[in-house]
Order: sequence, then C-alpha cells, then structure tokens
Amino acid sequence: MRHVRKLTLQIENLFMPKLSQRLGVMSLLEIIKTRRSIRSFLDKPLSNDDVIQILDAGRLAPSGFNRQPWRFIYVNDPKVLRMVKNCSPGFYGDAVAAIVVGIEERKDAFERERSRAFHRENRGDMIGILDVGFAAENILLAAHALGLGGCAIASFNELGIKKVLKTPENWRPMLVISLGYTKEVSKIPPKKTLSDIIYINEYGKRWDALEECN
Amino acid sequence: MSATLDDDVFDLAVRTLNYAIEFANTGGYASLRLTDILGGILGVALQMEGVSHKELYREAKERIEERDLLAGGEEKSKFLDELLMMFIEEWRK
Repeated sequence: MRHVRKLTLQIENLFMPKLSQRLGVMSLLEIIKTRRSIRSFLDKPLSNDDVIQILDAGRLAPSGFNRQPWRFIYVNDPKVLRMVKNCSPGFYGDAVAAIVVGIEERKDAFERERSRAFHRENRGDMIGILDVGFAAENILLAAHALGLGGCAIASFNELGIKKVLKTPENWRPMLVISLGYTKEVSKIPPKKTLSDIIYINEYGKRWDALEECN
Repeated sequence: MSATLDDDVFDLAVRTLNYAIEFANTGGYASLRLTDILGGILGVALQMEGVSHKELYREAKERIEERDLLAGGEEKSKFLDELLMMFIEEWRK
C-alpha cells in the first residue's frame, strides 16, 4: 500500500506539480474513490488557471502510438454553451462551461495510413475512442481534485455540435463534459464488488484475496 | 416579452428537435411524436406576442406539417437535420 501511495505522489509531482500543491492531503486514490458525476453546479465563473490545469491533465493522457488524436474545445461563452446543451439531450444541470472532446483525423498520407492500423472492422477508430476515454477520465479527476465537477455526456447530436462549434469535417465529437464548481454531490450508486468483476488466471475463477476486501 | 422567455421558447424548440433526432433511427414512434410536439411548440410560439424568430418558426412548422409521416429512418434523419440547420443558422444571426 505504501508503494502505491509513493507511486501516486511521484506521478502527481511529475505531471501536475501545481495540482499536487493544491491537493494537500488528497491522494490520487482518494480522488478516484470520491469522484462523482456532478449535475449540480454553483453559478460561479471558472478560473482560467483551474481550467488550464484540467485541460493539461487531458493532454497528458496516454494514447495509442502516441497519436494524441484528441482536440478539445473549451466552451465558456454562455450563448455557445446554451446551444451545445440544446444539442445534447444527455446534458443535465446548469454547468457554466463544457469541454467537448473530439478526435481529429489527420489529413496527411502517413498519418492516414497509421490511423488505419487502429481501425477495427466497421467500428471506427477504436483506439482513438479509448484514447479519448483516458483523456476524459484525466479531465474529470483533475476537475474533482480542484473542487470542480463534471459529467461525461455521450448523448449529443454530432451534426449539431459540429455546426455550432464550426468544426472541420475531419473532427468528430466523442464526448461532451459539463463543467463547473460542484454544488451538490450525488450519492454513490451501487457498485459491483471486486469479486463480482475480477477473476484470477482464468475466466470465472475466484481470487480468495478479494473476499476480505468485499 | 423578456429576452429570457424568448430564449426559453427557442431553446425548448431546439431541444425537442434534438430529442426527435436522437430517436430518428430507432424503432417505434418516439421521433414522430417528438416532432409533433415540436410542431405544437412552434404553433404556440407563433401565437405569443413579441416573440422573435417568427419567420423561422412559421417555416419550420409548415415543413413539419407537410412532412412524410411514413418516411424511413434515413429520410427522417435528413429532414430533421435540415430543420436543425435552420435553427442553428438563426441562432448564429
């Protein structure tokens, strides 16, 4: 456990020194354990410093082949945010901002060829989608660490979002993340136990060590 | 008419339209019904004094009334996308 804590602190110090200073006693594991999807926000504008740190956490996420296919659009203009919300049926709560995470397909031949390797039968850029997921989680964890909250929203109208944000053809929105200072934290929904979801060495084989954790 | 109420009417129309789009390619009548509700909202908006965007609302309502109720998912999506583009163009003005 001490090793995990040490590694956690090393990661924080390496990648997010400012964030680490702000965390105080809150470790990365505590942040992971206490993060909730937030849909209730304070009516308070976001500080650029906080948002930049949050976006930097997204930037530093791992990505397949280090392609970093993501492009983030930070929306803080109330008029634009209103329309992003209108085009996102899954957007609940009065967030004061949003981050739209999308994948940009590169136009040059080399990158196109390299991207092709990441496409799986009719499922699009699967690795790119995973990359966006990593970035989104970093964003949500960094937001929580700084006293902000957000919710990842997958229910949105792609065409509408693209038109509202004036995006190029080769940029595809993957997630809308609502953002604001947290007002109310929702209850933790029922979570499966470790032994419900983890097997050892072969599918279905129970790991005794997990029993005492449940 | 307060600016907020004017915006609220516009937002309600766009949100309802996006809900209709969300269900356009699924089975059942959800998209069709939501488009009906959108037509109703536009009808009410046209009767409200001092409301903006009346030209857009009138045109969108007419197009909804004239639409092919038996259109397939793809055709329905295209029709609803065209309506959405009209609303976004209006919002951008």
